[in-house]
Amino acid sequence: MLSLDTIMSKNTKVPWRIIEGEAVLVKVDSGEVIHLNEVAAEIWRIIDGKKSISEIIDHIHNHFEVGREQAKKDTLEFFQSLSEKNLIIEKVSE
Amino acid sequence: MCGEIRTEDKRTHAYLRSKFIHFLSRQKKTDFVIEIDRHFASFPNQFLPCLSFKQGKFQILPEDNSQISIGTIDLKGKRAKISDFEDKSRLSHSILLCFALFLENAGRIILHASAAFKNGSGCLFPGPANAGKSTILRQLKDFSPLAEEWVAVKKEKNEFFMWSIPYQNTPNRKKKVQKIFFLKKGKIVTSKRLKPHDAAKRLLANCLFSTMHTETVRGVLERTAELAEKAPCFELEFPLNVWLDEELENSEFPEEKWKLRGRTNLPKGLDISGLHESLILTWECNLHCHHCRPYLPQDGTLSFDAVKRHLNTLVRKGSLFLHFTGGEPLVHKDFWKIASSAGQRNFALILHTNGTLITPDVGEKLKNLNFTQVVLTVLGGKAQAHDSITGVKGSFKKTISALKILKEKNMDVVLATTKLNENQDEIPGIKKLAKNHGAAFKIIPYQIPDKGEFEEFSRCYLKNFQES
Repeated sequence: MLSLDTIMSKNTKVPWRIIEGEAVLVKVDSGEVIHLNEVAAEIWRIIDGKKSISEIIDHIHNHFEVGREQAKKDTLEFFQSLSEKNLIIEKVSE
Repeated sequence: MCGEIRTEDKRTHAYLRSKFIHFLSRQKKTDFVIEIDRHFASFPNQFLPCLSFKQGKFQILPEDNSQISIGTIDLKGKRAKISDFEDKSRLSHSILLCFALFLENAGRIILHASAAFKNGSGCLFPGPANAGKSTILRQLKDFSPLAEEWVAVKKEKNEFFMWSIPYQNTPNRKKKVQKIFFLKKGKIVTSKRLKPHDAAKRLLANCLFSTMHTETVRGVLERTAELAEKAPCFELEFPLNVWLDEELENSEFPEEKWKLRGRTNLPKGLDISGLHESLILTWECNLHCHHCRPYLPQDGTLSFDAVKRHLNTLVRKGSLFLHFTGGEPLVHKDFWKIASSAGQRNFALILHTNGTLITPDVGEKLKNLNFTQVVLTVLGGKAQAHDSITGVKGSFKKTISALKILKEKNMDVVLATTKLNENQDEIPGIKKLAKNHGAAFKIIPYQIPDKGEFEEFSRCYLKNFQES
């Protein structure tokens, strides 16, 4: 289960690009092309295996016109779906 | 509506026969008449005639603001007179202006466009000179051309219909407007839906306004806006030498072509034209297909450093799908270095290959490097047919072995073929092969290559690389 302290990194096997602020990801095993809107693309961009989910929520709260609670709820949900699709991988601390 | 052109002059009649033959004979029911007589001597003029509305009268002037009139149009009397015809292109343009004015005032708009149809409906391709209006007509095999240069459009019972100009309102030349495509030449086939106000702007830019007569202009504006709103409008980007029929028919769902396999949720509005990029790694090949090899340049292989530099450019450009092609890309000595370098830059990798070099080890490497798709060229459904085209005995066996290896690894494979005289009967066999192995199938159009053209392309291609 994801918590606010979890640190995630991108699955390196997912080809992606950010185009005009929006992101396009390719899920190679299923051939699925996934499109992320501006906010989701920004989250995807800053997932780096270093920032915790909590820090990412702060970033979104600061950069978009969204309340902290709403940002928290949406970001956690988004992380959950990325994780289910195996697009991100939890970073296990040594 | 039907117009009739009359002239007493034999030379003029001879010229008009080539362009306006349908309008020269006496029509049963005529909606307007254009009379051409030899009243004025022609004078040299580089401008095309224009139509002016002065003191309640429509006049054809040899150029804008001219004091001399070379023709008059009486809208109510449904009669036009043209008196200057020595210069053929100006005579045709004057006739076009007359047609346009009558048609505009009878609820039509005139577009600078080509058009193609299939059964009772078709597509419109508006655009200025050199936009690709004629080119696209040659890249359609299931659609027939309706018009190359000018098209009249009219709304009837909530649907829009089009006719070619010179205008003739006969049932077999009246086609329903299904979609409108604004053309753009590019590297890949892609279409994006345009919002109505963008479409309206583009339509208006290609609309003929025969005159500044307020009521005529108002009518044209209103009808154009309505057309943009009601008809699905797209921007179609296309390269030369590919068939476009499928794109015209499927363009309602532009995200479909991103379907490598499975579902996709790419939105219709996103501009995805720059996502695909092809890299010809080398012209060298280990097969000798007679429709290809003789035309390939002798040498031309991209160095690893040049490719690496170019990859960085492509990342900045936003390209996502990277097609490795050739020649045979797998004979490039640095292929694996290049593929892994591209993988690190988050490209979705697609390999176009003849498959003969794909051993279980190679398949494993492709899988590990996360190749999104492998396209295998198959030219026959059986070994004999395939090998006789590739010129290498045993090549079919190797390609089919590659197909099996890749499918065992659960990779996305496409069997691609080119229709040649020799393999006309092989297509069903290749399709069956694809189906049996769980691979997709596609036909790549073939055009006889010009050796000089190929070498020129190669030179430019390599030169661009050194510069990038």
